[in-house]
Amino acid sequence: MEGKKQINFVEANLEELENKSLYVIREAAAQFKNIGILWSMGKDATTMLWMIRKAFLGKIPFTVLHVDTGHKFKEMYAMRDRYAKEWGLKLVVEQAEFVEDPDKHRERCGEIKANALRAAIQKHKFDAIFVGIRRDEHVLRTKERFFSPRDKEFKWDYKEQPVEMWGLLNNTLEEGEHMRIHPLLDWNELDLWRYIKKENIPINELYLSKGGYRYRSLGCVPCTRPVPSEAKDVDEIIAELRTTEFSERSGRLSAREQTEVMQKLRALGYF
Amino acid sequence: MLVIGLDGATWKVIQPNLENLPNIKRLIREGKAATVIVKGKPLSVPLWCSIFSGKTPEEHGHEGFMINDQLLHRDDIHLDFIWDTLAKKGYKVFALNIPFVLPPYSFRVQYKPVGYGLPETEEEWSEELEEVTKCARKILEQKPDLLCVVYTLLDRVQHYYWGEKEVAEWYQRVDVKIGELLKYDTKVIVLSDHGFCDFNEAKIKTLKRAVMNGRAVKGDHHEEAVIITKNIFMPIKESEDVYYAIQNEFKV
Repeated sequence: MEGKKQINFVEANLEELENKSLYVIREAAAQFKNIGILWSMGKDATTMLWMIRKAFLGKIPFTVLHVDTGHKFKEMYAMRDRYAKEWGLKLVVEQAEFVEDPDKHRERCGEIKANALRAAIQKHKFDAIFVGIRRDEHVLRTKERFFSPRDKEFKWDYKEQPVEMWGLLNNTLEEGEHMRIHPLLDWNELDLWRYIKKENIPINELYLSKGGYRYRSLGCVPCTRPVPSEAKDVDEIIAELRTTEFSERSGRLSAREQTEVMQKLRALGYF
Repeated sequence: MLVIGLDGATWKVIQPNLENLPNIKRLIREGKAATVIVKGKPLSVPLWCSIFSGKTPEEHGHEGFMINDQLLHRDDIHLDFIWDTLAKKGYKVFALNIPFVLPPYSFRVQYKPVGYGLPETEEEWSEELEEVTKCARKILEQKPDLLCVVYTLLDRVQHYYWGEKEVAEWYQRVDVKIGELLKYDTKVIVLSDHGFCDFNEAKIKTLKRAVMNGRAVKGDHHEEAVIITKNIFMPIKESEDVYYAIQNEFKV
């Protein structure tokens, strides 16, 4: 069965990956006037922030944006405040709609964050925004480009994106559009942790095993679940990922899997 | 302590085939065996919930895999199961492939259920037997305080093959796997959620049609479930007693 197969991460050359990311970051800086960095304090966004610091010799020349749903882990807020100070970040926190009931928040989390981000982009007049997504996270993200434009309706038309050939990044924007910049697109989860180890990048303690569990992906408290793990440090996380059979966003079924289960139940006469 | 669930296992098959089920036979000889009569509908979802939460189906109200055409997830079920209760007290507890949701739920175990917990073919039944046993053995080697594990395949086998020789053959294969797990622990419960009978004899039809995946349904659920215990102090008379019997062993 597909699900039983070990995930075979190809371990890329970290130097090449880093060079490509730095190239994307510097190209973005050269091509856009007012860039924001979306920082969720997760491992990807923090690694991206780290690389942007490297690209500009220790200083981050852009606004760092945190879209706060009010449901983040206290450890995430602590990390935000600590490194905003230590790294001298120009941090703005934009408050998203707060839905107190965790179940109701979970149902609408994506929409709540998208609305707040859209408002923040308009408010700060960002023409581009750095986002720390990776292609290996989700099937839809495989279609992303390093520069992915989003129109004034906040929609991403992946079929009409400009091509990126021979390393050329297209900065063409129509009126009201903005560009999402993805420096980490080529990285996978294992590469990222190897890089975190190599560079000694600070990470949230929630990623480390406590009582047999750790978070593999961080979001809002109601929307994120820990996975069973004994990995208590970065070395152990790397060792674990080299043999894992589970995807980073495991826990809930994807829409496709839900459909398959429903079809099975129907065929079996359950409804 | 080890709890092995066999979805749909029935004395109607075990008793006449006991000579070919050496591990179950030994367990009955060394422990106690009884029948639990299910009072409500003999359906897996409410019964596994009752078995592991100590609440009756009326109390927990959880009836099926779906509500409003949406599959339910563990978070949607507001119940503390025995593994939750004991984990809060610091015990090393695990649950593997418990079919009160789809895919079946596992606690502190990363396990991907075969066929999303609805194994359909002989290959998938074999795969479930192998994979669940392999994963359970891996857990048992860590000497847990409690492992609850469920094999779901007998339910499907009996729906398709009730009254045919295949049923006894699959029980024998399950018995071999039970034998592998029994080596690890001496406090044991082996149980089913409900029994099984001929489709035409079933008081309550659990399926909407007499055809599953284009195959005729030959068997359906029956209210007499199996319970075998070894070194368990409290007697188990109802499904929900299982929870309290386990709790009693841990004195919590």
